[in-house]
Amino acid sequence: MKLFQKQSNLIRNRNRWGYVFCAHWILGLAMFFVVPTVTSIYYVFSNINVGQGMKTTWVGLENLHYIFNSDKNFVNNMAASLSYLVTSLPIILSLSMVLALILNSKFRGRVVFRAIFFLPVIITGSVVMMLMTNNAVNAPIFSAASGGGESTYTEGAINFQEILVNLDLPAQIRTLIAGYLAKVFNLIWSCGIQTILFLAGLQSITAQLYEVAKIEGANRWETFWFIEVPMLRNIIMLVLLYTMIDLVTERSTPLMTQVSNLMYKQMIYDRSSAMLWIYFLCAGAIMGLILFLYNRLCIKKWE
Amino acid sequence: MTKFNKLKQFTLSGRESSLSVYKVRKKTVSLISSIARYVFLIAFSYTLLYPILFMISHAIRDPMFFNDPTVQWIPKAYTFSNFQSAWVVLQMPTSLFNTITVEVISSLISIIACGVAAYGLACFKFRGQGILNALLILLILVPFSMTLIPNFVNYYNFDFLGLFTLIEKIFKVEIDTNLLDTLWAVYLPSITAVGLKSGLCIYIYRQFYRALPKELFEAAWIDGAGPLLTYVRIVVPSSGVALLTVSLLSIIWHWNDYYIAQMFLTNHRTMAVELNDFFMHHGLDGVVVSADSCMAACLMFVTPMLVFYLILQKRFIASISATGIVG
Amino acid sequence: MKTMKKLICIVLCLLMVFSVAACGTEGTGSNNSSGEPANNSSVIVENSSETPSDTSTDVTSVDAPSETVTPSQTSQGNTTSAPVSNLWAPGTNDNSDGGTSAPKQTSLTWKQVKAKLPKDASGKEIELYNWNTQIPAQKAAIERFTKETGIKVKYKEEGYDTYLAKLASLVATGNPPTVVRLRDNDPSYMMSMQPINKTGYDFNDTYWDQDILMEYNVNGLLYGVNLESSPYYQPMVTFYNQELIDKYSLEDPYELWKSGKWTWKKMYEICEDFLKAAGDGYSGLSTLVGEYVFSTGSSYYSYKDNKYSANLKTTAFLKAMQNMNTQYQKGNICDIVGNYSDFSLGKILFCNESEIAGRQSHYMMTEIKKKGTLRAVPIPAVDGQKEYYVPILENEAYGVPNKAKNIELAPYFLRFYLDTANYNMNSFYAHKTILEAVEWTRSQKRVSVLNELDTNRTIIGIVEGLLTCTTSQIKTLIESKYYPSAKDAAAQATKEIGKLVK
Repeated sequence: MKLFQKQSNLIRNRNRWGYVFCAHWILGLAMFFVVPTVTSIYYVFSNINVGQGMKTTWVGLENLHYIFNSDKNFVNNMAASLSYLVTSLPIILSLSMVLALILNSKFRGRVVFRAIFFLPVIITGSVVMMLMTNNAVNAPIFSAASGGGESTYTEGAINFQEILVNLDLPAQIRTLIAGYLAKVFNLIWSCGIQTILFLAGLQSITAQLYEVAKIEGANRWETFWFIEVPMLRNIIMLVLLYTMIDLVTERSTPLMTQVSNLMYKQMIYDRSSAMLWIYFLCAGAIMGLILFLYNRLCIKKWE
Repeated sequence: MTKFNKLKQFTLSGRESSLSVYKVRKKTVSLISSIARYVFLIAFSYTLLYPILFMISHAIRDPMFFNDPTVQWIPKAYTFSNFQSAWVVLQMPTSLFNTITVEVISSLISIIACGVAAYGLACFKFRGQGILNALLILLILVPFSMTLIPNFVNYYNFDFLGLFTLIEKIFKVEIDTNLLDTLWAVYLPSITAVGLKSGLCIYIYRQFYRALPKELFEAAWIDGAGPLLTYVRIVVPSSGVALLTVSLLSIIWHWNDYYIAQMFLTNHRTMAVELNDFFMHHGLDGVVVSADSCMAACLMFVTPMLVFYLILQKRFIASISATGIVG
Repeated sequence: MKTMKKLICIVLCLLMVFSVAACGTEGTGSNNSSGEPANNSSVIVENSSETPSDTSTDVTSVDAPSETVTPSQTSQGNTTSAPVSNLWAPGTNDNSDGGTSAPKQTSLTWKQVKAKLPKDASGKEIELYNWNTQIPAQKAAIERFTKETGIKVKYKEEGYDTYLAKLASLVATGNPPTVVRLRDNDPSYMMSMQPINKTGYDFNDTYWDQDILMEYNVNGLLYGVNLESSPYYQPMVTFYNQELIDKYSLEDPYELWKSGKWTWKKMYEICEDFLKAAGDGYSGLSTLVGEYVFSTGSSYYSYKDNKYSANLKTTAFLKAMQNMNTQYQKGNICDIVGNYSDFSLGKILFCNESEIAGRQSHYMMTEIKKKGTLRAVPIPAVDGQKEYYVPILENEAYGVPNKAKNIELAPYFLRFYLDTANYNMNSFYAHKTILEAVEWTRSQKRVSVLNELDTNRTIIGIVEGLLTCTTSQIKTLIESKYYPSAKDAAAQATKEIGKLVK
């Protein structure tokens, strides 16, 4: 199609309906989203006096200087959070895909297991998890991880040190194992909704395709790579995006705890906004890169 | 002759025998794989079920055995008094009613509004589409806490574009535009599709609508259906998966949300808010506020969502195969 | 190609931003808070009507001594564990004109205070902002206030998690509540407050708690107040189970306290006797983090002259921690994280907790309260130490936020609402010994325990360190792991305090 070919009136009129359908959303964005976001970007470059009703004074790049040079933890925390994002992403994806494949096949007790695997979605991120981890009242097994204070969701959920105390291992190995167990536990808890989405996608593949594959003599591995993954390409994209967003905004990563500590406990809005925006820029760049690569390499191949 | 035939059975040659061997091999493989599958699933389920079992075990046990190390899962004495205490501390009928009016309804509104907005984004090509897509990504990324205080001030004196002051001047009427503590503080963002995690809902819808085949729309267009009719009659019925996913997620997020309810609606205390303030209650007569009753309260809080998911689950799987979209 | 161009563009922009941020000059220097605080109440008088033999004047800040303190440096003549003459006697309440031993200090009765109310006060409304549910005693006190003065009071209960954010938002809207409860003299709590001097009320009055006034004083401006006789004052006390004492015929802590022999050593001895008699499944003492340490006068942070400093490396603190560790390794202390539930079920003999647990309406320790065997004595004294320091869990005060209206009525309300004379103290606590213990501690020196500056992390970290390391390792542990972060937190807090007075 030529670049400047004018669309016919009919098509243009039809496309104008897009405005109509998006009208309420545009209104909502203008009322509730745009102005606060712009003010938050403004906070990055200014000093805020919270007590006087959020009075701001422009100071330019001082906040950015501070968080990169004077703040001891910011760069480390950001590196830790970003590496957590990059390393957890493939694990969660593959884990939830495997789980969905297993749950898709016919075996007894399928419904029960599907219900069980959806539990994390209901429980994490809610008050229940906070109550279980943050309260000194509870039994020792469920206690806040070391350095608590702010609520850590699943990482602090089960205190593996306590469980492992029974085995007589030296303290260092115990800490190491407990750390790994906590990470594994955290990962398992993060793949609730992804499993459901993959499951839904898998259910929509018609049985004819499987029959064709069987006739052609494909084994399970080939069926997976040549039928299921291409049919699921849109859902994989959705799951990629959802997982990345979930990992980036998860509150138990070092950077987010630092930011929420600053924002909620000490009410220092300027520096915490700066940290958050820098973090989102980097994370957004990584996410864009991953999605772009996925688009280029995978979807084009299967078009 | 017969001896020879019998011998044949035990030799590996011949298609019959190899077929039976193949069957035996296949059976063992499937047996092993199903055992492996069960082991894998049960191992996973233990970690996932741990909190629920913990909650149930603690909620039923008699307070005498609170920290008894010999009692791990099965308490020695049963009592339902924890549930009674939890019922009172959570101020139950009121808070359940509040949760439904505040969260469930705003979630339903949000589901519908997000669907409409996503339809506009996905199926039409208009000028500002690029900007809106970028804003959508920004909407998903930016956490609520960053926009909290400006929104608070906004609600306190809600005056979009000076419209209300204009109306007041023209009609000389006093309008109280303080949206805080009224339900509009929650309904208005939901109606305009910028509520709790609405960005993600719109995105899920949009991805799904993009995947619908163009032929469907063209067929509808040829038959003379306007965009609205297309949406209502064709897109919505075939969006079974997306609709169910979004409604499930949206209701669960709204049910679990306590931050917005605590900040903006102090008069309507939902269940999540009451649960969060569980240990701040003093001076309620005859009520035991302890970790056990807290677990009972958590159970009461989590059960409606579980039941909801179980009901929805069957329709989830069933409706997908009936869409007839893919394949 | 187009997408590649866009990508390169974005990457270049990011590189530019980072290079500019990284190669810039150092950030602006921190605010050095300057000057001596011009205290308007530089002479502190202990409440003389309650403790006739115990007046002591102290010019320096009372809560925590600074780096190189020795126990003999602070005030003179404070009796430690001979409380015979300090008995709280019913009837010597603060309504009488308290005798003063220093000039410029008066103590007005409620009638005199009420006479000073502005004429047009009746009919106005003020708002009290709190994060706990209202107990009936508070409600009754507020109703009586309204009846006496005609000022309407609204009690707003907010959630604790969103407290600070909500307060800041309300200030931003320009219509915040009139009176706000503050948990501690942490800068983040005082950020949205204005100096309470602006109400025009004269706080130069012994009826107001001068220690609190000292702590919430930043550069001569007062940000929070509390009454001397306030029921919302949270000293730590030692609860004990009378039933177990009687059952095993142990020495009665109440008698010991009355005769002046209630010390930490004595308490450990009683614990050992108890463990020998009772056997397995029982423990002697449950303490929150380090009351022993606070009894020696040390604490994690000290606040003096608008500056916060971390005390973790002082010899006094380290010694006290090591002592506590020895006891823990011996097995006398069962739990360092406050196991009041087991205490309530009768499995632990002593429990060091904040007095709030002994209140009748509080949810902690319900079982033992129902049985009626809950008793309390103050935290034991340290053997060989002349001074007595009582650990205070929360330095609660009440303040006035920025841009609030009707603030001149706030002190009058506080004067009434926070007075124990307006509460039926008999039913406030579960037993009268608890009330006695609390009232006695009012006359003693205070050490502030809970300070939100990174406190949770420090406390939990040190506690976990105690669980695993030996006595000799404590010094290295604290110095290497917790002192740096505590020092940072203190510096940060100093900076924030400096911002308050801009």
